Amino acid sequence: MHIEFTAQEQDFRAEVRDWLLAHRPKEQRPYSGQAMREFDLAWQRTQFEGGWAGISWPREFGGRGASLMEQLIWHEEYARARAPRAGACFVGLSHAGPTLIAHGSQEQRAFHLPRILDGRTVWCQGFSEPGAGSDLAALSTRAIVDGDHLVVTGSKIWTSYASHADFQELLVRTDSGGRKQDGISWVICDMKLPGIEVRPIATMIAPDDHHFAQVFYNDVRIPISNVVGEFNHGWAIANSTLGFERGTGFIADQIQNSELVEQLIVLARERRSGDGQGCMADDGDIGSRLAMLRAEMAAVRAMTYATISRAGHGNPGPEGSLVKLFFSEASQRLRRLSADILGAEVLELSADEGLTFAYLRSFAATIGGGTSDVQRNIISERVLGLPRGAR
Amino acid sequence: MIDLQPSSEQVQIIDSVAGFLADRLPVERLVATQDANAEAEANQDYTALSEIGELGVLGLGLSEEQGGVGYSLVEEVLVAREFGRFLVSPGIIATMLAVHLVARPNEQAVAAEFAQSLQTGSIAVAPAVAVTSDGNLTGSEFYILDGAPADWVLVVAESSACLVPRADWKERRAIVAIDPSVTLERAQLGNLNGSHHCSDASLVRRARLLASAYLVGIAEAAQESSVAYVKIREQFGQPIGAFQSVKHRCADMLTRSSAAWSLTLFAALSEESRSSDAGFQVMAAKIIASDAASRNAAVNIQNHGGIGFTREHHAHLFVKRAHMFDLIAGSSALLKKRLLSADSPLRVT
Repeated sequence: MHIEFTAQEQDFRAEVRDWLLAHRPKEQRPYSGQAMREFDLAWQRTQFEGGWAGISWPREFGGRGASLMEQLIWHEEYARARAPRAGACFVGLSHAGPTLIAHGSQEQRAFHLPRILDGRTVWCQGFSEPGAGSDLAALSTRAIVDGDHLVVTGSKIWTSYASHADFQELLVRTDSGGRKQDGISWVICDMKLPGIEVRPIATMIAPDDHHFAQVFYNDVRIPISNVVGEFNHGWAIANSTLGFERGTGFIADQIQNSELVEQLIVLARERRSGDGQGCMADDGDIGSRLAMLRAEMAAVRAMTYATISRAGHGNPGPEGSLVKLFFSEASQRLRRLSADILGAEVLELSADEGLTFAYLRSFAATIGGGTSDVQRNIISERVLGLPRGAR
Repeated sequence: MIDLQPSSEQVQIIDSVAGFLADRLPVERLVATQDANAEAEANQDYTALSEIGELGVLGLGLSEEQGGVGYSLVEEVLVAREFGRFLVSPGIIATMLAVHLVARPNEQAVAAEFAQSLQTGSIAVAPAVAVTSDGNLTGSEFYILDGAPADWVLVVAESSACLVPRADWKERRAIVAIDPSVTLERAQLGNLNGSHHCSDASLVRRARLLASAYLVGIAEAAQESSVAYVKIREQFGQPIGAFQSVKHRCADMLTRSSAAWSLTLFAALSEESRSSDAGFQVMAAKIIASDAASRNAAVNIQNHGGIGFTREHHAHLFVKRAHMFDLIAGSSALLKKRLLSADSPLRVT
């Protein structure tokens, strides 16, 4: 047990820090529209040219091949440099790419991996459906084999960046004879194919915040060669895809939240408390919540370190759900506290992704990436060994 | 390199202590019989003190030059967590701390022999917590925790600690405790003439860490007790652990204890490597560990239903011990105030 960085790791940190400070975009990231897509891809291209794209991807697939410790350092420095989040590039880098590396064919890898890395393509996820959310295996978007094509009919929902995506990781039902987990296939879907219709969904945040969409498939013909891994065996692949997401991918978010606690402490010292006596930070309730969140964010960091120590590789297994659950609930409390410190100003929607914008977005923290309820099922059944029961 | 996994040597230490405790001091020892008089005698921990001393755990983190075993604070934290799981007398933690207090360089004259007696378990130490926290030592009233057979009493204040001999306490009287498995006394600290005093903040941090580890042990034992019970208790024709409302409570218990243990280890390693944010991490760990212990202990009673509310089940002892260790070396209420005004660890790289 130890927590000291080697000289080599410290050199790596210095290199990362210098590069990020010199190259990170200085302007504000647009939060919607074509400008957002262009911004995210340009930043990805910059990282590619600097040799940092695909930090966790193996070198043989064009990635940086960083060790877990180096990934940790990268994400820590990334957050400290206030570099913009991966945004539209997230699914390609953290889901589709690692899935293709693990399960894709030579042709699939050769075509897609370089395009994800150098910022040419945006990916989106096609997992959830109107009738299949937490019960993902109940999905019913159907794909029928017709010659060397699949003909897809159905609908996917909550698809982030669907309007901007070039490709989609699409889960379809290719057999409905057996268990619902069997007969699912993981398919690469070109979003420009005829028969695909994307209907943006406005979120609760703002009328123009079309973060996600519903996607309709009307007899969409996808080449069978786009199936990733074995036909009808997409469920296991989908689970490994979700596992990547629960690995090191959230370290930057965690650090940003730690920084937010510090910003809120400063803010609470500047603002007068509700009765005009003293500052917000001296208010017993606000002060106690700030202190608790400081402690909880320290715990999130320690949990991430423990997960990395235990895993030894990128995929943390069901224990990853412990960090996801603790972090998403704590970050939601943190955002709620920011709203309380804002006082009456919480009523004003900031146009620049300020505190109220982020507060409203935080309601998604315990839904996206597997709801907190699903995380609790995973923890209780797969870690604690409690019996599976009716849902 | 960051590694929070115990080494094989550390696993051996954990296993040997856990094995001893399971055999010699199982938690069932504390379950009250119908005979209230038997309760006071139920606490066998002090009689086991010399056996625990023989295991070598009382001077585990003291250097060999100072007559200790030569491991570090981290190993003491691993052991304190096991003591928490088995609800061993708080005197054990006080004794572990007293070893370090008397082995300070300025205590050389008495240090060697005294520290040795503490390590072998031939001298018993009990912790005390202030009745009201006005920051004064002499003249103030304290609760002495499970200290009936103890020769010395350890007081850990915010920035110092002192080990006070039995004779220096005035108006010492027995009080009925909420926790029937320990004795409780109220007494006034008369003077510090016979005391060993230490104003080294690292001893306070050590006390907070051992208390955190003990609290994590409580949180984990409560969680394990619940999980074992909900797997076998059947209602509506199935184990209650199959119901989402119950299993989700268990998942939350594990999440809390896991967060508390990760942070306690990280804080101990920060202290061990003399990191400038160690004080911050240690306070955060104690707050999170106390929260995990008290909430898991409460949920454990809920999961057990009626039996969990009875005296004959040990579930209530987790609640009561969690209160006790929250108060040792700084309550959460106090530490939250201190943590809020502490420097941010983010400014440190």
